[in-house]
Amino acid sequence: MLAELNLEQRLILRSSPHALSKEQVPHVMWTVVASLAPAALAACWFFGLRALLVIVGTTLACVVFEYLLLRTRVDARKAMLISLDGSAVVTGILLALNLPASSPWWMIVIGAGIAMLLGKHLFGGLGQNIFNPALVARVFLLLAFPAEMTTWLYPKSGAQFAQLPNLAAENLDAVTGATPLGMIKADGLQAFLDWCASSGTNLWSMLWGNTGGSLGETSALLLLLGAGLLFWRGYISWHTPVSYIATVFVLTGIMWLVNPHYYANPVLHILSAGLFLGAFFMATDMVTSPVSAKGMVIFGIGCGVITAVIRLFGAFPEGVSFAILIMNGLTPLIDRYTKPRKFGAETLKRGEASA
Amino acid sequence: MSGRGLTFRRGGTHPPENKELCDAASYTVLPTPAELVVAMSQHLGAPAKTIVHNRDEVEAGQLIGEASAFISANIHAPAKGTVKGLDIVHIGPVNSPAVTIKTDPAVPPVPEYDREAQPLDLSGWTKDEILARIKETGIVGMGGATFPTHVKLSPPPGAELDVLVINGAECEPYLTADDCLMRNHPVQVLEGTRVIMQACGIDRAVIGIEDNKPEAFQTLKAAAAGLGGIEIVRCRTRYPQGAEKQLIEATVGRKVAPGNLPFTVGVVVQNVATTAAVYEALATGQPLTRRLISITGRGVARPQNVMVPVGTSVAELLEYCGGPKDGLAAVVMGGPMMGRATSDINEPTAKGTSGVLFLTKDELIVAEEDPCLRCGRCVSDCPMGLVPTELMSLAMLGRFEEATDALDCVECGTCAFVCPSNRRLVQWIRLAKWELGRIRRRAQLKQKETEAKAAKS
Repeated sequence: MLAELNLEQRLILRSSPHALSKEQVPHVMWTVVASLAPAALAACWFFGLRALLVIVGTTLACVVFEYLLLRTRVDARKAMLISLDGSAVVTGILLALNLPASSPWWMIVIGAGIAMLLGKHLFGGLGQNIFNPALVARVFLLLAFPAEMTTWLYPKSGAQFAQLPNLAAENLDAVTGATPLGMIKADGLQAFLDWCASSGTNLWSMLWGNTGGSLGETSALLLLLGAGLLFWRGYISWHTPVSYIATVFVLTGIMWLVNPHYYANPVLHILSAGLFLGAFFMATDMVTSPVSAKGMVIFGIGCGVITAVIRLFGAFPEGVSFAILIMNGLTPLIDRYTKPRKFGAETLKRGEASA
Repeated sequence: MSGRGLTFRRGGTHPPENKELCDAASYTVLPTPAELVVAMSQHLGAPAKTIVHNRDEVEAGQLIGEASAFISANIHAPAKGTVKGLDIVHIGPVNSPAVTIKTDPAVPPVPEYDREAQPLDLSGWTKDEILARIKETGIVGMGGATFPTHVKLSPPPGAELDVLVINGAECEPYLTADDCLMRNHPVQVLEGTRVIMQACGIDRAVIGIEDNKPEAFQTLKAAAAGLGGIEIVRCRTRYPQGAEKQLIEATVGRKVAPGNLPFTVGVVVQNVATTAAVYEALATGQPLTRRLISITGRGVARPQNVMVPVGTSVAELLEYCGGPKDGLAAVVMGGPMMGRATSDINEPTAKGTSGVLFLTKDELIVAEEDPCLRCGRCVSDCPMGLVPTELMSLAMLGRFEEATDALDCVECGTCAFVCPSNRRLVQWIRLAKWELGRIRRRAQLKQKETEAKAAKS
């Protein structure tokens, strides 16, 4: 009976394990997309149609660039499969969240091209890149087109949503202005505080998203909601974001205690600009951050120190992108020196100590 | 004890259990096959030396292979019959001498374990007598590692053992043979445990059972009620709980250092199936020639636990369990996490075969490897605290000397199981281990040569 089946020709031989979890790359990537959804939707709510166009535009452009760049190496079927595995979509949405709502279409296309080419495919594609592609593109755009990159729209609907006194221009879709950190850097803390008092901006509105900034910089709360999904699925751990944010809080807190009339208070620092976006979604990027818990903590602290130094003493109002990119470059080194402790290593140490 | 059961701290995963396929409540006894191929290398260490000749008549339980070194084990004939040939069989990567026995059609099947088993009177037994009996009867670790039991129970002088840990975790998915054994033969398990305690001069034993086997836990707990010194503990189901070091941490909270053996923390570990074999050896003198095997998977018609004589072919078991089902894609000796795939359906079972899996393509999930995302899942889930992704990269680059951490890998397969990119991490780590062994042997050889030269001149 068995001989006829010719089983030996058909049986698959391979190394153990023979079981595999059903969680594959596309699951991971599309979950990250889902985790970015609350912040992206909020951006559309706050900034209107422009934001939607920016998000759809960068995402589409990233997927198209991914496909074209893949076609230089693999066949059409495989290129299509890989470009839809969600990783290009993640990069696209992350890039969009790092752009102002007023971004012109050509900037979106250039940004997507830089992210995919310089950020990802020159290194060999998925998993091989050293730097976070979305941040590579953002920094490129910031340096190449500083005017376009710092024309911030002020959210309109958000103000109504948060039931706070609104800016004067109710009937405009949005108005332009500086980010809180930009204002502090340019005009000093006192000017910013005066503006806050006159415009009704407070820390709560920053938490909700009612301040100027790029699409994803505004609502810390909704970013946290998305990050919660990643925590729950186990795709990110607390190590990087907590050590990052805590470091920024402590360093800016020290300076605030030193001179509260010149330095902004630490709560404003951690709630403003891209810190939550950077700490939860970009510093935790799997590909470009350390693999061990110890390494993640060092990575987070490094990001925090660089961010705080740039914000407090640098020429730029904001330092999250630079901080993460610099630490991305240090990741291989961190990985080398932060191996997890082997099972039972502490027993050995104790044994040697007693011997 | 914590509400959710004891477990190890670091890493681990929980693969789909699939244990419901193979009922653990009862087992059947395989009619003695017409032919048994008994390998001489069914254990870790040197193969046994064949001591029978072609056309010899052999009795059931007769010694046919003699332990040939310190780490080696005796092999016995599982049934009465005639030696039909002395060949080499391929058991995975091992080419082993084997004795093919044409069994006597008149003999009844191998007996099942005694359901009326009685407690043993151990007062007349000395340590050495027990160890000698275990050695004679060819008992090896039946959890899969197949290390000769009498060697494992003789730790180096100076080692002080104080706890015996019995492995009833059966953390491999699909397999229910140990569960079945504990539910049907608690006396054998517990009495075997007492024998080993006496052999090692230990007065405390802990039997760890995962909480997906509540019946086995209750059965053993009830049977152990009158016995002093034996605790039955519930472990939270988590893979790889049955790995020696993880089980020791889970049950007695001690951690064996890297590169060390359990005796360094005063522990010796035995599998439940081994304890039952030890009981048999002392109670009846029966050598280890049969065992419970889970024949399971979605590629076989009637999955079940079967009492099987050593040397039965996979094909025989497949036919006994109703033949293959559509979609059968792989045969695995052992569990899905650590078992070895075979394409040879004539491969004989051995003392360490706890399961034969017939898996369909859907169960196997044959997926292409994607690039490593460096997500760190393998790092956070590695129970041994290694960095599997780095070891894989080093192996792929041929930089084996830098991958010495591979030697601490127990090949549990957690990393490759959780990898979202389906990377074959364990395969690469195995390669690194193998190459490291080669490098070490080459260095030893070179040293010997230089020493020989120095001695000459």
